[in-house]
Amino acid sequence: MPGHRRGRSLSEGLMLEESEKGGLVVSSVIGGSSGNHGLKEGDEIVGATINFDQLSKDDVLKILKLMDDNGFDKKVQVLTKNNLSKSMGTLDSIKAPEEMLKDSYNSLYNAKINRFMKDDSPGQPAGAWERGSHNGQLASSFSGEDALPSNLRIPSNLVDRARAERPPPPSDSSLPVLRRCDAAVPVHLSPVQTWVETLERRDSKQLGLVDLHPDVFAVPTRIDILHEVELWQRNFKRISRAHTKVRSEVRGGGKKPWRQKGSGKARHGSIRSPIWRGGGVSHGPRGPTSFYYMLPMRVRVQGLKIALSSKLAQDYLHVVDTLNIPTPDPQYLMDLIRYRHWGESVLIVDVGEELPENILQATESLKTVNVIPAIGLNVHSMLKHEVLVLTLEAVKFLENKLLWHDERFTLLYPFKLPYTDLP
Amino acid sequence: MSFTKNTGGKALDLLQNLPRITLANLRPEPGTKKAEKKRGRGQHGGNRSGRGHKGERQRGNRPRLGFEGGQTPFYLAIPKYGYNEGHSRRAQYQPLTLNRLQYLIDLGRIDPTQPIDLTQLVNGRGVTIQPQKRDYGVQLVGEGAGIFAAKVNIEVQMASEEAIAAIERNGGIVTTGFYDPRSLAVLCKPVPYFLSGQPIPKRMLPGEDMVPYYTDAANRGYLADPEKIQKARIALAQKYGYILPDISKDELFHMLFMRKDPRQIFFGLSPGWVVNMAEKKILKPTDDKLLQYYNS
Repeated sequence: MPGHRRGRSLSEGLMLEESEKGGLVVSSVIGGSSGNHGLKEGDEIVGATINFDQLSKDDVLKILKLMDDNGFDKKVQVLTKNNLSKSMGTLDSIKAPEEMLKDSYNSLYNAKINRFMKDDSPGQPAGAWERGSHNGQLASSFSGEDALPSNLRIPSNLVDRARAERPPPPSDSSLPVLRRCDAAVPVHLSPVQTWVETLERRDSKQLGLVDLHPDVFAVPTRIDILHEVELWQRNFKRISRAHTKVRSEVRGGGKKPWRQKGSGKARHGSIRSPIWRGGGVSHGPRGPTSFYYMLPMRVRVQGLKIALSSKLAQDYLHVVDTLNIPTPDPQYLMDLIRYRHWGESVLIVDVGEELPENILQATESLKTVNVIPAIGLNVHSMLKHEVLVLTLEAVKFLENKLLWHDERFTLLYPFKLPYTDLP
Repeated sequence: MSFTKNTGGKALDLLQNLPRITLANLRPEPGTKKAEKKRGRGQHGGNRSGRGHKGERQRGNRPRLGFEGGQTPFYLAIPKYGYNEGHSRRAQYQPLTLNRLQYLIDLGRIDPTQPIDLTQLVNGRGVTIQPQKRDYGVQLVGEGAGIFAAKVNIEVQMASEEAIAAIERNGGIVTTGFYDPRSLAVLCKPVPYFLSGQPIPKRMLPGEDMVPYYTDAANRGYLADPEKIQKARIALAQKYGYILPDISKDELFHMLFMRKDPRQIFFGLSPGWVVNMAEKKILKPTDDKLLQYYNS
């Protein structure tokens, strides 16, 4: 009976004394370490806990009767299973509630979650994450509001290592702001900032910072709007030219093949009916069909804004001062992209009809790096390419065009006719 | 809240830890796309394909809409009455409340320091006029007469007495003018008309039934006698109990007394002129017959 044995050795190995205040103090400890619960001389004994886990019904009754007989029943508190939390192993350690929660969480985490988390990459600079990312960090759901809930944490094999190589600008950066927002930023919002880089040298540092309007580059993400715009882009140009012939259009089939009765064959009126081999199709595609439809202008504009904002939020947007590169060699661009850990595919956007020749030549032969004018910016291209590179003029142009739709009247007549307040 | 933050806010913060948004990640909002019924396919769509069991229903031979099995149908039993008779020949006037006018002026969509015309109202998106749908213009309605406090020179097509009183009480001027449908279309959307290269048409005079309306001083008609209009202003002031302000001593006196000629559509442009918007030039006719026609 383990409970009894423990009890005996405990009482035999201890010498108790009554102190002046009326409490019980351990005067000396005798005997083996098995009975000793870590008690030393001078410890004041306040209470004792008995774990009823492996005791039989008779033993429990005996102990309780002992308490009852000696009149200690008022000092006894009987705990049921409901009082205990399930994660507590033994009754030996009673800690503060916060400690107990942390312990239970830690044990759960170590058992179930830790094996999916690898170590953090050594390249992550300390203190560079102003926006509070927690890639792979231990984040308890009981700690503050920065921690991600468990359903939003992604396993590390989906985390993009390269993003750690290009941290966003900290709030106290010493570089100058090369461009402020032209349009007025609403009072309750503040502009978003990114680096301005060059393409002149492969390994040049950032030139400065640029202010981006929050109503274009920091709008709430709506994947369903991106989906709608993407579907529209795919379908509005679609003309399906599938065409089948109906029974009246198939050559032949005007005459009744055989007499109605008496031939022993099934009755038929024409050899081109849909049940015949070689006959017409009853409900097939009929002629060129157009799938043209237009999403409202503001939805398409919102789609562009959301795509730009999501690129910026996920560190896939880069701003460049100009598109002048030293050589028309495509290898230079590929080296630059690899060195700067940008990504697999790059979409470069500039304003104007005449783009620098070097970059046009360089990207001509490259499949994954493409240059487009700013009017050609669209959601499909932005999502297809991993990285988006804008020039400063492109940023200005886009902000101008996209912000106009926020504060315009409804159109009276088509856009193509002159308006006094068109951007 | 004094701290500045962005509208994206928490969503953009969350995005940083989520996989890249690509073409493969897009999906519609759950619940927006309902799968369509495929007739004649599968256990539930097949068998009779939603047509019912035998009879006219399944065989597609039901009688025409409204047929009641031989009983005189409802649409024939009820006698005719000319509720909608001649509806396509009835003039409609889009109402413009004084509340709305005050709202537009307060927001700066309409400039009270210039004469207010239907063109100005449409440019400020105050009213929507459809000349093709038998709209003959805009009518001024007295709702909001209590709060109206703007001094304007306004030209509408019809006006209620209360509205006239409210405007004149504030020292403004109301005029009612007639526009035939073609002139109205030109007035509402001048830019597409000028781009078409046609000369500005002359405004037609009202038809027989509207002449009494526009020659009546009580309606401030544009064909009415100016002296009678002055008397009507005084009479209205007495009726509604306000002191008629003296406009002739006003600083905007010149603007307030601007009026259009009965044949004129735009201030400053005469009928017969062609406006070239691309080169910003105005071409005027020189032929005698044309001049005779446009000046008549």
